[in-house]
Amino acid sequence: MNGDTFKMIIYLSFGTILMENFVLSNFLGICPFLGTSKKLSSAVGMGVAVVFTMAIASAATWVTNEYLLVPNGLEYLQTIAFILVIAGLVQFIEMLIKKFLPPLYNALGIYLPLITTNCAVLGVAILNVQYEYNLWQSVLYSASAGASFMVATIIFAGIREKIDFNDIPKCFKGLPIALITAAFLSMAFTGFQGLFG
Amino acid sequence: MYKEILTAILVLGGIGLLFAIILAISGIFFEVKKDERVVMIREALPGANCGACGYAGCDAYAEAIASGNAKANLCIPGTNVSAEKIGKILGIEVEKQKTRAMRVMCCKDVTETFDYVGIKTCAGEAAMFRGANSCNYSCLGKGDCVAACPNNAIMMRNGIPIIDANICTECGLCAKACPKGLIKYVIGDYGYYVACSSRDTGKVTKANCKNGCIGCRICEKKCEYDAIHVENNVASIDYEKCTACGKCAETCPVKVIKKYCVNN
Repeated sequence: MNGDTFKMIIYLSFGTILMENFVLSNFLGICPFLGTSKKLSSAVGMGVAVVFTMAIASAATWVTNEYLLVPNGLEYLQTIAFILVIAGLVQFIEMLIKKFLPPLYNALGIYLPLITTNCAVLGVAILNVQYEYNLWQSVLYSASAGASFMVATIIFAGIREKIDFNDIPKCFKGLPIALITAAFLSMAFTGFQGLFG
Repeated sequence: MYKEILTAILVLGGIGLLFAIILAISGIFFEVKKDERVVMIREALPGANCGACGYAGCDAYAEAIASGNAKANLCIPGTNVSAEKIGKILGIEVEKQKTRAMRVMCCKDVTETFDYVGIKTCAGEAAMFRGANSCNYSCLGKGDCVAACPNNAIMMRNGIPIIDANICTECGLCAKACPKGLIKYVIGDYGYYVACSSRDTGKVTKANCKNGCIGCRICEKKCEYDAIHVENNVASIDYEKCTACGKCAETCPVKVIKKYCVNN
C-alpha cells in the first residue's frame, strides 16, 4: 500500500466523520437527525441502519452510474435512477433480513424504510459521482458518511436526554431548543476543519 | 433525438422492471409465514403498545396469546371488547375482566417543612430529603402523573391528582411515574379505597398530616368479610374479598376510607 492510498483512507474515514460531517457540516439528513434523536437507543438503531444502507446503496449506485448511465450518456437521470435503485435495494435487503436475521430486523426494521428515500443517502450517492471516487473509495466514503450521521445523532441524543431535565422557557421547549443545540453542535464541529492540513 | 429519448426510457424502465421482478420473486421466496391468528388477534387489540398486559407491546402480546402462553383478557385499554373478539378468533370462552380504576392513595393535609425551588417534577423533589411535605408518603403535587398520562385523564386539584375514570384506560403509566407509588388499582365497579399510604406510626402520621390513616384497626374489627387489614401502619383492602358494604368507611375515625365509583 503506498502513502497516497493510506492518506486517502484516513481522509475518507476520519475526515468525513469529523471535518465533513454529513449532518453538521453538509446539512444532509436533518429530518432523521431531529426525529430519532429523542432517545439514545433509537439514535443508535437509526445510526447503524444508516451506515448499513449508505454502504450498500453507494456500491449499487456506483455500478449503476458507471455501467448504465455513463455509457448511454444519461448522467442527467442520476437523481431519479439513484432513487429507484436505492429504494428497490433497501426493500430487497429488508426482506432478506426479515427472513434470515429476525433479531436484526426487530432492531433495525422500523428504521430501514425511513431511510430509503432520505436525502443523506441520495446525497452520498451523488457526491460519490461528483468527487469521481472509484468503487472502494465510494463504499468507504459512504460508510464513513453513515458513521458521521451516527456520531452526530448519538451526541445529539445524549444532549437532548439531558435537556429534558432543564428548566427551559416555555416558548423554547421541544424543537426550538433542539434546533439551537444542533446549531451549537454544528459550530463546535467546525473546529475540526483543517485537521489534516 | 428519438434515440436519446428511447435509451433513457429503456434504461430507466429496465432498472425499474429489474427491481420489480426481483422484489416480486423475493416476496414469494423470502416470505415470512406468520400465524394468521396472530395477525387477527393483533387487529383486535387497540395497538396502543402501552405494556399494561405485561408484554413488550401489542405484537408481543398477540403472539403470546396465539401460542397459548397468555390469557386473552389481559389487555386493559381494549377492555372486554378486545377480549371477546380474541375469544371468537381462538374459539374459546374468555373470562370477563373485572372493572378496574386508578386511584391516588393520598388525601394529604400537610405542611411544608422547607421551600423547594429545584426542578418542578415530583421525581426531582422526592430526591431532595424525600420531598418538602411533612409526611414522607404524601403526594408532592408536581404532576409527574399528569405528564405521564397519554390520555390527559389526570387533573391536579388542590395539589392532588384527580383521575377521570371515563377517560382513563388503566394503562398504569401514572403509577410508574409516581415516585411515592401512591397511584394504585382499585377493583370492582364501585367500592372503597384507603386514601393514605403513610407507613409512619399513628402518632407520627397524626402529627404530619390531618387526614392520614393512623392504623387504629377499627376497620379491621368491623369488617365482616376479613377484607381489610392494617399492614405497616396503613389499612389496605383485599378486593378479592371486599363486598363494598361500606362498614369500614362508616367507622373510620379519620374518614380516610373513601368511596369510588366507576361508570361503565
